[in-house]
Amino acid sequence: MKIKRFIQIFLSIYFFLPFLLFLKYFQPQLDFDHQEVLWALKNSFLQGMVVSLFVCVLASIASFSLFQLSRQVLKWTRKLLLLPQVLPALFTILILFNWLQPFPMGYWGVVVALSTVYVGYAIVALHSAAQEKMGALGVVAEMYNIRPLRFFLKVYLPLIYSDLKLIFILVFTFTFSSFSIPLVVGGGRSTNLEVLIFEKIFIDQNWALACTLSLGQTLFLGFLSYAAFTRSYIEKVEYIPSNVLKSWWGIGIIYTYIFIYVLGYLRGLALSLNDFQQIFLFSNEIGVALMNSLIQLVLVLGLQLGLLYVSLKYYFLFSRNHLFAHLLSVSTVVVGFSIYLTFPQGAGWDLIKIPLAISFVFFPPLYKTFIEKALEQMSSQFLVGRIFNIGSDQFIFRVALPQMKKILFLWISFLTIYFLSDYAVLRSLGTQNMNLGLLGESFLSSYRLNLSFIVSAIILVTWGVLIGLVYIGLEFFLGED
Amino acid sequence: MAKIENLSLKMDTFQLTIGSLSVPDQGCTVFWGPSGSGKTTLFRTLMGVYKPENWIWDFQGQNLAAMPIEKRQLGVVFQSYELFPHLSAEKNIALILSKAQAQDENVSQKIIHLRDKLNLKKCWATKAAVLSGGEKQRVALLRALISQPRLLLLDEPFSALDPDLRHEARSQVKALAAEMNIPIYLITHDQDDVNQLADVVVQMKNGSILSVQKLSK
Repeated sequence: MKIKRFIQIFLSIYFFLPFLLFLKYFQPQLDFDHQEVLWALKNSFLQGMVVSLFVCVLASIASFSLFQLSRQVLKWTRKLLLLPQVLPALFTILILFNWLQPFPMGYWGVVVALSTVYVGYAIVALHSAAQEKMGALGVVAEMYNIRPLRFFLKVYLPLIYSDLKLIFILVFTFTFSSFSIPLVVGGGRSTNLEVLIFEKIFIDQNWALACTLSLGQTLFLGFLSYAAFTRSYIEKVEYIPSNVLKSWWGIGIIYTYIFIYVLGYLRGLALSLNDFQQIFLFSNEIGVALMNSLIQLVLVLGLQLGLLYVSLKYYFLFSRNHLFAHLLSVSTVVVGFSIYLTFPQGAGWDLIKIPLAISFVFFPPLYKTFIEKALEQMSSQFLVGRIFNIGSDQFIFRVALPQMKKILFLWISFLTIYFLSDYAVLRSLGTQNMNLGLLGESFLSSYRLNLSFIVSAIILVTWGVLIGLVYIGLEFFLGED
Repeated sequence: MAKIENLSLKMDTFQLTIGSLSVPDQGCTVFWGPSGSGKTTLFRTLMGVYKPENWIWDFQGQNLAAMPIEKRQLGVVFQSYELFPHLSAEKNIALILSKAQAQDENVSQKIIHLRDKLNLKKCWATKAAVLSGGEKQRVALLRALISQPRLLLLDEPFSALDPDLRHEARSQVKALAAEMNIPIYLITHDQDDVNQLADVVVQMKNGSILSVQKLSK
């Protein structure tokens, strides 16, 4: 009983720690430069609206067209569409810098970059949602000779309307609170609210105002993510293929998007190889950054696995986990700032600060994306475990984790690539150790695009090697019983 | 006699209400009724998933309503059996044994006895995910019996079986429960379950008890 209570209290406090630490410095400050704040707020809001609207329009058309692809082609297309979501912001920025020269820094730059990140994800999410609801409606439409455009407008859009709303809210939430992209491509000062808060902390040292703004933003984001995930469950129906669900416009959008992303990266990388000799000038920096990244990654993964274990234990004991379900989009700056203020400055402290910050920012959304669904699918097994009084550790290691091998692999893979390429969290922490993500961003900011491409390739190779090792490790520890 | 008293549970638009119900604490009691009558809600409440306040379930002198799930000592068979799919039949059983039970020769003998009686020898090393429906049902029954339950709680355990298999499965359940002297509460909408198994039928409708009838066999 004591452990149950302890876990409940620990998890309740842990993920809210940045906010609690933050409140310590909270002094309402209302005598600020209203114009500056309104400007940033307007940018955040408009960027969010424009990106969400653009993404939803493209995704509606493109998701409809995915139904006409064969199973194998669909499988690969979906994977390619998710690439901009899998690969961190650094890659998207590099690709766009490579295609658009000069890049429209500022408002439109942020809109273009964020739209590129979310379009693929929205197409896949909408298609999945539509597939679960479509059933035999397409066949019925064929029988009654309803044309594809009419079907799209009269059946498809009304059917996916609630999912479209959800995606709109999600993309708006992510865009509103985005930090990594506006930080690099935002151009001038105060590009959006998150960047303004960052500047208030690290440039103006106006912590009271930073706290006031962050509190407002956090409440707004909490409200949005609550609104996004309070939906009723709809029973799935089996999709029966039909010729009505097709759109060549949609196919055009999808493959142009994939072409821009994949070929953009390969083209940029190929061009950057012309400057490959420059890498020797920076070999020392790159070696140190790689080493730091690897050391930090071990600590990051260790802490996240520990948190996962505690979360699974919580789920076993309480048959649910709603403690951090709505921390979908945690403000990078709030997390960074609260840790920055709490811990002393110094390179050694980075080894504590970085894993903590990464866990606050990435654990809740990755848990929501990967772990939560797997646990829901196993919920009756958890119940059986409790009915037959199986110990929680025995259940976690012999029943839950072996069935979650694939999910765990994806979870660790995402975490690894996100961490290796991250510069936003580390910048907001004011860390003193250079790592690969920071190095890539600093090359980018100093107009050494080719070197930044090479660092991104090093990140990809390192990631490939590491997830290979993770795969072997998971097979070894959680292999066939 | 076992007694359920003061059970009131509201679930959205559905209300389960049992003021007072006395049913035997031996033999087979069948809770029977159409869809929406409250059988599943009652099953989950007895299991401990739903936790209404201030109700009493007096079973063989103990108030099970006040106990958490793991202390109720119920042998449960779900409609979908809920075996651990990645483990073999044998390991599904082994997992629920305590250390002492796992080393106890009597328990091992009992498992082998039940395994052979339930005709599970051939599929003993097979993963639960690939067992047939009948095999899954028998492994789930074995798991429930071997957990030393004070009561077998069965939720439509025959509904997923082919009609040909159901008769035999019912006979097995009845015979083994009688042999081990374990009372059964069976939740079902199937009249054949009532005919073949019930000593007492509790008929449910719209979340209430309509009648309690003792059957003479």
